[in-house]
Amino acid sequence: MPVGIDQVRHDAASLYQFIDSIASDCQRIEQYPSYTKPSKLFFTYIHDLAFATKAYVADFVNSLDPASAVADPQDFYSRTQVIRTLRMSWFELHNWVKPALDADTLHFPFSLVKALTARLQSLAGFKNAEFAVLHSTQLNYFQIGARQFRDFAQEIGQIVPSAPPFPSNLGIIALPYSQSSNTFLNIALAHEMGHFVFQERNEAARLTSYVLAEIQRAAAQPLANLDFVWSKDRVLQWCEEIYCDLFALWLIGPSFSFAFIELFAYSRLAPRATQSGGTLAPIASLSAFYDSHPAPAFRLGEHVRFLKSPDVDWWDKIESGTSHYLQLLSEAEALPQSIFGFSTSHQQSQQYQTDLNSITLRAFWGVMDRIRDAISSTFAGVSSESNLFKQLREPISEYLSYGVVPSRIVLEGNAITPSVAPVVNAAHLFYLEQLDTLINRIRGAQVECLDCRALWSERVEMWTSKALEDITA
Amino acid sequence: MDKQGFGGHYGLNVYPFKIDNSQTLDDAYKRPVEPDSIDLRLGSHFLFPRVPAQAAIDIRKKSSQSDISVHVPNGDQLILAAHQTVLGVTLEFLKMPYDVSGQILTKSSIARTFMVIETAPWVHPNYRGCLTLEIANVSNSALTLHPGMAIGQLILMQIEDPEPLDSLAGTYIGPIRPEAPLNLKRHTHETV
Repeated sequence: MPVGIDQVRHDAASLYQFIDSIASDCQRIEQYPSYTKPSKLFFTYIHDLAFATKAYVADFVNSLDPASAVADPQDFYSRTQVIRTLRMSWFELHNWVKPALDADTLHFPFSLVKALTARLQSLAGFKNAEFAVLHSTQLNYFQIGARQFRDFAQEIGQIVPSAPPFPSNLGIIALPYSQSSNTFLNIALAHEMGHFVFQERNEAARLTSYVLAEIQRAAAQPLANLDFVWSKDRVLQWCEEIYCDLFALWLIGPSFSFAFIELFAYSRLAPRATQSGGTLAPIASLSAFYDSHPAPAFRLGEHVRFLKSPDVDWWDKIESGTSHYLQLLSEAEALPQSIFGFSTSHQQSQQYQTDLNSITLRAFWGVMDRIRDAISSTFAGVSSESNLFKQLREPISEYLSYGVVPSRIVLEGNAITPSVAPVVNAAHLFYLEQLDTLINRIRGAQVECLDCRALWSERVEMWTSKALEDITA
Repeated sequence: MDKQGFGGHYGLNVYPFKIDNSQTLDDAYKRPVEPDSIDLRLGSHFLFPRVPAQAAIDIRKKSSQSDISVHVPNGDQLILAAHQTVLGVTLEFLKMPYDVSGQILTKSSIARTFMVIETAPWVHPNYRGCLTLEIANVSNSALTLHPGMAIGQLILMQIEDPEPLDSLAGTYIGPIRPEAPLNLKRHTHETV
């Protein structure tokens, strides 16, 4: 049976209802729960897009000539496919609305995100950058590309002329829903902000020429086109991940490495036996590169190399610490490049694939300096705050050990408002190395008691969060 | 009473310094300090008690009474209906010395709107944390609360022959949000 006007009207009404069911909660944002300004911006976008889409659909259906459905059913069918196309677009948006609604200000560390954003806004070209936060059901952090949303908005705009553009400078980052009140673990969000900056600065395009040159250098013979593209894509993805790690380290300091170790439970790994009968550091067991990510052990080693660089100059201020996380980082740095491997497969021939993987890995080593250059360029003129950390770590730790929020520090009679990185890193190291000092000061609390440790860890995170809230007010 | 050591910028700590048992107070803070009291401001977090399903709450027993946690960002407001109660918190984090106790009173400008902010006003020596406020609108009209508004006054009293403590003790140590009474062990629902 050919499609008639009644069926199109039905489909349009169904789309109307479908959009309403997605966007209605965005329209009801009033007072409680509270949302940050960037989240509200996201909801306003969804609301305005829903309004524009519905208006377009109503006009579209009203403009249809019922007779044309009979006169040229094929043409009528083709033209009315726009209803389905719009529905598919709203399928995509459906994925993000509920996670954004779940992330009200009681359910994500808004003071941490605000503090990180304030640091990021000091970068050239990012003065107005903001981040809406979503909840994820995965135990992982990720960023949804602003470009992806902009492209999506543009696609809808080709059908719905009055569709609003996706807000410029709005990034979208997601955190695991279960960790919404955790301060230290959520420092991993700094890496996701790095993806936003990497994509906005178009770093992939800048790095591509270097990547191509390195692949050509690593390959003894020219690669088949598909393999060349495959290799380039792998290296560029690894470059982006390393860029984002270094970005996070410059933005917030070694606290990012600690969050990374804790998130993936790398802190207690078994030593790895070698063929020669010796053992490698435990971290060596994480030496495999994946399609999308460099090996965790390589990433941690690269963290240390970067923390040692004069650009940020963090390592000598923390290396004498007693945390087993620092031990792990040192071990990662000492691993030889030769232990890292990449064993994915997209080719039938095993030997060819082995060679291709090796070429890809060598090309990646070759381009590492360019990533560091890209980070230096991104942060030109922005301090890592490691010297402030050196000055303030001890007093901040002392405040925390007495259960006092370190929003203002008195040093030699002068009151100082510490900046974000010193507070976060001093508090994180206090949590890793000196929690016992606090617990020993609490009457009835015992360092052996896991409940006690969890309770006072949570308090240290709360005090850190309060300090960030005060500093960024 | 030496009034040194209290003050700070918006949202910052108010606590005497040093942070150990010394009674030295820090004079680095410059914030509204009246000759006889220190202004305290309203924080952003609130805890609304739910109306219980049972006829009454026995305050001697543990209860399954629930609270609703609400966050009101700076610049927004909380509307408190006539005769409604809510737990609030001071924006300031206080750290009392071992030889000073305090009392918090409703600011007169607030009290004259028939808002009561504190019914358990005593602050013990060595206390540290944001103070939980038992806010009650006893007027016949709804009233708006704005985080950051000056809402209370802290009066300090020197203790004679104080005993320095070698450990921290007390029912509530270091809260930054309003806390429900521990004897009730109430559940907190974090959204409305």
